[in-house]
Amino acid sequence: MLKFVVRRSALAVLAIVVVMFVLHIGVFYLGDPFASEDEKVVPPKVRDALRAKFGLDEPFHVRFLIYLKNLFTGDLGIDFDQRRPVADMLAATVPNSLLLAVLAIAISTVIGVVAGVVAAVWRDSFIDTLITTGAVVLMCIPLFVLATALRRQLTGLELFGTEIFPSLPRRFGEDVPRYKEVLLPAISLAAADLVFVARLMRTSMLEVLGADYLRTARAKGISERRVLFKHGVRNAIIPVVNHMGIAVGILMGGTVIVETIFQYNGVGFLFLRAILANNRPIIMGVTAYAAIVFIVVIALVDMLSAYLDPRIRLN
Amino acid sequence: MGEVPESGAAAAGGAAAVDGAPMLEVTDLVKHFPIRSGIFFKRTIGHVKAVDGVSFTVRRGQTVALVGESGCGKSTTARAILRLLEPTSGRVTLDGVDINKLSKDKLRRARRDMQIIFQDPYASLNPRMTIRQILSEKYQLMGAEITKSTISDLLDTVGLAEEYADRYPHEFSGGQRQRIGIARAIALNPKFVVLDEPVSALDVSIQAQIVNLLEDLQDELGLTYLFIAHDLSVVRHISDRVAVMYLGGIVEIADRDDLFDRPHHPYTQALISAVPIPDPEVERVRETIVLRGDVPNPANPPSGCRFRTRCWKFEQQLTEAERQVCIEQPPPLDPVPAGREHRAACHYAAVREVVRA
Amino acid sequence: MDGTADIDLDSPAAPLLEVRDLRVHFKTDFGVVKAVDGVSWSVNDGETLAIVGESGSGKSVSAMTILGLIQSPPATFPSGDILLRGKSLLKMPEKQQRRLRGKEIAMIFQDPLTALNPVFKVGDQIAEMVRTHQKVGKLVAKRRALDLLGEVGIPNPAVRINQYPHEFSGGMRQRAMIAMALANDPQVLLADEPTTALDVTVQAQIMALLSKLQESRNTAIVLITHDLGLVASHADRINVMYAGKIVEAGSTNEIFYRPRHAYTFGLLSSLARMDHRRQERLTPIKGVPPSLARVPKGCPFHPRCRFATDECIAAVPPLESVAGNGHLAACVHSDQVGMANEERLAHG
Repeated sequence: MLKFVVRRSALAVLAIVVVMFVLHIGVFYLGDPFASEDEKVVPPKVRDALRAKFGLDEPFHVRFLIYLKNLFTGDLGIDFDQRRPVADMLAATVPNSLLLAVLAIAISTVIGVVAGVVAAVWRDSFIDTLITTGAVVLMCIPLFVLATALRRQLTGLELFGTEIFPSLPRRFGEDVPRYKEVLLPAISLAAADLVFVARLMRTSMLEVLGADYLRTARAKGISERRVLFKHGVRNAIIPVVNHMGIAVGILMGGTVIVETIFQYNGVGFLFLRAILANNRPIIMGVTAYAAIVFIVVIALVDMLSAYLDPRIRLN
Repeated sequence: MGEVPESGAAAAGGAAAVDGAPMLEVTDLVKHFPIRSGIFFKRTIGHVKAVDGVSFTVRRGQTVALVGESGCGKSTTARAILRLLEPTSGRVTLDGVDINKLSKDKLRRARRDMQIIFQDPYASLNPRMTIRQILSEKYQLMGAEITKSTISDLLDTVGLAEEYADRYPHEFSGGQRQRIGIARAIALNPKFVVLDEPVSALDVSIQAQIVNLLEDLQDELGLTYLFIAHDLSVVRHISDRVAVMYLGGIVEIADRDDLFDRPHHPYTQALISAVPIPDPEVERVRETIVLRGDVPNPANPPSGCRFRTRCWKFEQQLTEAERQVCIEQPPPLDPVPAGREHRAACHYAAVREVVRA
Repeated sequence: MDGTADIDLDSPAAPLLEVRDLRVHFKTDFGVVKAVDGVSWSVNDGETLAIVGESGSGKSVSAMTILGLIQSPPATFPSGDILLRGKSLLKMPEKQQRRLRGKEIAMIFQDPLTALNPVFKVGDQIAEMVRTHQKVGKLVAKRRALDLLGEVGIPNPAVRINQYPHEFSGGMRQRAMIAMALANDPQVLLADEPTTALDVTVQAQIMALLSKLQESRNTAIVLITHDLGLVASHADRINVMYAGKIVEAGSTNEIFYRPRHAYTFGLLSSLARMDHRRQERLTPIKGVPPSLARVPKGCPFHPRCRFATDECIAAVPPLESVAGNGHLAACVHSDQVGMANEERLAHG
């Protein structure tokens, strides 16, 4: 296992370097990074300072190294709009996206796995048909439609005297606790993802249910429940864990649609605003962050998969 | 060879020449599979020596069997001979023509003469094609003509009724599918057929039918067979000559009765003694040589004689000095004293009767 | 004694394991599949009973029914019973049945690679077998697993116990399965094609191991196989199954030297033998084994039988005694078969 971890980590580091290289080329060699076409002209003094800082007049390898050094020290530049360090802005939004990602995946995994197992164990029964058809229907609804619908119908909803889902648009000066704010966006994302989890789990479980080792487990005299969970689900869940990890990795980079619809202050929303304003430092910073986070999470997911399935560890 | 005559494969047969001239000559055939490993770039850190220097001859009209257990390299040898895998080195000559030197075009034409029948009748037929389509494809690929009666004659030759031609593989039983596989192989009247465990996957009561069919076809069409198998009972029935393989090399090769009645190599002796005979009295008095341990890793075979780690002779009968020889020197495939054309790769080969015929 | 107190294990009269008129039918889209259609047999301590048949004969299903491994909604059991020392298994509540599974009766399967759980260590899987039926702690169970691995001849058990199934060779995996099956000293071991997936030299090792273990523990073994060679050297008695029924039963010598059912005779005649000089042609049985959804009327073998007459189609021949020594056959022409066999032996 250790060998696997070492090798996988090395691969991740390599991937990060390659991605940063490509990003670097994209940012610095396709047009002047500090020109902007709208009214917010960068004052020449600031621009010169920035050019010096990023070493734009230096040879390539120096520039790349400066770039990497900046990344490591967390210096991602200063955004054009609010003159705040990009790193600070990321620091403010990343935790929100992280919370959203984890919550959404947690909800979708729990519901998806249960639905998948139930559908597989009672295959071709009414409940199986219900689950699989329901999944198909849900899958056909585009995410933005689903999110918008949820927003329209459920924001400001009051139950037992309290407002469960904060109303949107936010009233000026109102401070909404994070845990309330994140609920509806998480539900939207979860709804979209749980469809895949349920189908994946169902297929995987069906395959496992027909496996010889389940028959052996029964022949040992183990209770049916133990057979299903300890021997069955443990095997069937491996592809789902994989999916979960990848989904978290993607969502941590921010999900533009859902965050924007719910005006949730996450990385995706930040990114969208930056693109609309052509706010390059933020665009660069978010891209670098998202890429690195994704690579790291995928590496961790691979290691988790190898832990769960010893066959993966060989070679 | 030319065009396929109107009535299909059957007509071209008759008294085909079983003149004993060499049809297939394999010389020092080697097939190594590289093992790649590494963090970033996979380097070749070793080789699986699946086939490690195999030589033998098959005469026209003969059946030569390659026997051995899993990992011995018999299937890889067969595929390398047909160039379904590119050999790492060595020479394969079919009727005088060096197969490995052929260009892709010439190879395709040469393939008319060398066919293969696979073990698994379920996996080797395309489930989306009817039997007629599967068989016709064969003719089309080789640029031969099909007439109205070609397919039905072909099916007749393998004992299937004409009306089966328009059905799909899944509608047939295992034995019938194997007949279809055989029909496909002999459709263009090949000279040489490789049979890769053709009856292992079939029920016992069907095996005899297929074995008879294969023998009849060999007589009718003058075919030469290379028979890959692990079932020694069938091998004894159908072969003229037998080569025993272990871990990529031939350890013994002899005419059929010579091999079974007078085996010289310790592995052959153990193998034959392990095969159960459906006769309780015979089983009761037989001695079994039980080998210990598992087959070594073909990526890392033992030095000297590859069989020495499991060899009962090495363990029980050799002196220290003799054992050193086994550890240091790979035994050559040398002729044994009494046998005609009987060779064994053992420094201390001696007869041991393990079956009484 | 937990839960097994209601079974009188010392009762001398009842056979160890008895199957009485067992029927297992499946409802499918093609109609009712009669996988097992009226099968009766028994086995005693220290005995090896072989159930021989080809694919679709019902031999595996009958064994799996004993262990309750046949899922009941698709399957029904219209009649019959299974008795362990006189106590009915089929009528027992599920919980009680489960206590016997792996304890009194254990099973080993054909393909040890798929039969072992790939994500758990081999040692843990054996220990699980122990802890399911014995109230012992993890360490004790692990030590028992270690002992068992040694007993079945796996070298270096201390290392192997922490490895996964895919790190074992085929023969070793089957040994591990045997270790697991014997963990609780079962009275009966059901072996479903235990060596079919193995090389012949490994097969010899495994069968030798089973014989040795049977001798030391006096276990009854029910050997399910299609390999008549294996049966000749390892079985005391044989049941031949065809299309869900037993067509012939008797001691090993009786079956091999004096077969009285046309199918048995046909099977024995069609075998290629390694100790015989080459025959001109093999004598196959014509036709194919029937699908269990469309079993022929009367004697299920009649379409392929060279002795068949109208009598064979009229009714299913009963399994009755043909030689008075426990040798039974379900064949109208059993005498003819006997004579044909004499001839075959004379010329062979």
